[in-house]
Amino acid sequence: MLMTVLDQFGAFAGALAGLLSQPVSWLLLIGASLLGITFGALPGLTATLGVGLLATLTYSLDLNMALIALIAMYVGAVYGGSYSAILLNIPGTAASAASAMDGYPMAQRGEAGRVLGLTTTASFVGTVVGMLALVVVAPLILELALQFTSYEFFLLALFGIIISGTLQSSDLVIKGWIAGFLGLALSTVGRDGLMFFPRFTFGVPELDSGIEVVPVLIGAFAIPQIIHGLREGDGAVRLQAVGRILPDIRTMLRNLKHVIRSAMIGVGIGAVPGVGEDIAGWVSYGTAKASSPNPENFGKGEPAGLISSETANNACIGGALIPLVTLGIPGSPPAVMLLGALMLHGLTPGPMLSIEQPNFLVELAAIMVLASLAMWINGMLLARQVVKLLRIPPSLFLPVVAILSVLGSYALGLSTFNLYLMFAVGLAAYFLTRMHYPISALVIGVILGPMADENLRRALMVGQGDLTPFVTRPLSLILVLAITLIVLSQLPAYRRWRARALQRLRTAGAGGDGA
Amino acid sequence: MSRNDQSVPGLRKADFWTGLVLVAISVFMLVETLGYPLEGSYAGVRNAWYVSPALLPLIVSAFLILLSCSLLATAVRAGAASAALADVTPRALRGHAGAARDIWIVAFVLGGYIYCLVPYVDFTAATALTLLTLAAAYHLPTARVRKAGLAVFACAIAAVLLATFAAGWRPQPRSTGADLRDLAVWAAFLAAAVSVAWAAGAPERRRWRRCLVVALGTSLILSVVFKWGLLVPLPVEGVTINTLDAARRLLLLR
Repeated sequence: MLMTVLDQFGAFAGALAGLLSQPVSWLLLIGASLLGITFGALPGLTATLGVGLLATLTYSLDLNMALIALIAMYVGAVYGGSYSAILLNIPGTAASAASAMDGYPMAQRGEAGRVLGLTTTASFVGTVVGMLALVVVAPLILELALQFTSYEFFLLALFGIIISGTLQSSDLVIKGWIAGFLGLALSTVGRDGLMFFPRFTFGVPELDSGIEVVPVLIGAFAIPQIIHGLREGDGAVRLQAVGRILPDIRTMLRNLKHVIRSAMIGVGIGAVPGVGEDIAGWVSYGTAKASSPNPENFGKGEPAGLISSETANNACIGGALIPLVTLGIPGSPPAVMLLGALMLHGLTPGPMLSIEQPNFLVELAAIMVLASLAMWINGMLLARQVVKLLRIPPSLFLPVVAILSVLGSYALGLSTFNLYLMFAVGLAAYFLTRMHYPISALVIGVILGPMADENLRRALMVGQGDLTPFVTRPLSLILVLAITLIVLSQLPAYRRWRARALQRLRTAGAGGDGA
Repeated sequence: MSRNDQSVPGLRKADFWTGLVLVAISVFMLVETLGYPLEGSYAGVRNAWYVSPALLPLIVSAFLILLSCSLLATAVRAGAASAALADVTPRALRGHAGAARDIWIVAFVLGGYIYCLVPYVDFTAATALTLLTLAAAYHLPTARVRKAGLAVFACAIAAVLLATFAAGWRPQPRSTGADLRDLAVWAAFLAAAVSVAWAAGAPERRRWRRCLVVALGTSLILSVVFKWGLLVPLPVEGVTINTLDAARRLLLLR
């Protein structure tokens, strides 16, 4: 056991040294991190979109360099969202919405420099804790996942779609499921992998090879964001003055319990498929407020609130990578983009990854450490310069983002058909978003569709059409039960039954007390 | 299955229409799937229901029908059916179209760019014109400016489509005609710049300049970065890229 840990540590140190010995990786780290911070800081641009647009530009890089750029962008963008939340009271990303609650009042009191220092340090700690969780938890899940066969893989894909649809719906839960199944339907377009039969191609040759994931992802996340941002208009920008940015270690240490708890919440929420940094930030903020002796200070400039939300949203990154690396199921919307990017580089995350690329996890951990360091350095040294970009009105940078989305979709395969696909998906995604359909569930459906299709048919082929292994194999049974419970828990009849049962228990309890 | 008990009537009305559309799509999907081989043999491979390419589409379409019917039922129970049908009057439709004006503007400009300009004309020129139209419409948001910019953009699209139609639709090898088409898009860019400046008036001259800088700067920088930096060929490399290439060769004496 000790030898394994030492071996792992040795591999980690080796990966770190290998990355640091290449000047290109330094440049990529600092550049992508700065780009990420800028992307996150500008209201209307998200970490998901940033990772998606960068993915197409990293196509010509080797896998390690591409990963450095993408992870640095991801970490930087999640952190960068706090700039506009703190200085403008407009969260740059949904992940930073909770940070505005206490960050903005503190900045109004003339403490903007201190707040940015706290945010930077909390985000750094959050990312490192997330990385540690990834390194500790992922091997355990991988060991379990290596026992998965086609039965479990099909159920896992279904579980990912159902749970992300369930948790992401802000209106009716069936809308989340519809979005997931629409994604699955889109994934069936093209010739199927087993018999090469053309499905839903309608004689269009470009559809024969199926739908490209990256243009779908870019369209689904970029177009709704662009339309929404332009509709919202520029608004008046009243930027708070930023003084000297200092890490304020003393305040961090005073709030150590909030830091630890928020990091755990972030990792846990990140590991749930499709649920992202925004929910981690809010849950952590709510927990910090509920457990604080001074909850009335929250919302008026309480450092604990800011530290909690910022630690959690960055810890969520490591959490989101756990199901991505071990099961091939993305834990958050930016992780969906990351999965698309990895597939672009010919890498399919999942249990086989530990066999095909035994050092992948260690290298990923090393990249995360470097990305969080790059974010911290950029945050401490360049935040005052990045903040100036917040004066650029959305009406000027959103049209540029639209052009970048077009070029990003085209660069992949140099096909104008990808542009048509990106735009059509984008418009549909805009209307679906307006009607409260979760787009993450749709794209998770598109990504997990091929896995569901192939494994369902392979499983049935092994059993000559026998369905019983789905309930006789222990791991399959657990997944079947989990899916059934999730679906049942959303049915009105079940909810009514549960409410009645709880009522009966309360009445019985009250009767017992009385006796 | 409602999460928010205070359901918005507007949302339920939208659910009614979406439910209908989704039922139609999923029924179409089911009918289409029934045409796929479920048994027998395909391309020499013996087929069975459990390896059929129709299996997943069948499951997905069945679930989609179930879920969209459930959505429809929820909307109908909320009283959205009659409200949604009552909304189908010319006056109400005009109101909806007015409320969705921004969506149509962005969709028209981006759709025009993607479907009508990018595949046929010089990428730099097409991008500059699109950026100017979009930035002017939202950075100088007066009805006059919007109308001026969009009118020029619409004329440019019509001209490009006409010229492409005359040339036989399919992308052709570079020719003098293609160069003329690119130059016409640059002329449209100039016309848009002038008409937007005229419509915006002197007080908005600073914002107009910003739009112009963003449109020209971005289109040129992106073209150069993609073409020579990332070595990604642009969709159509026309008169601008050729001129830049000639200038580059001249500068590098190659």
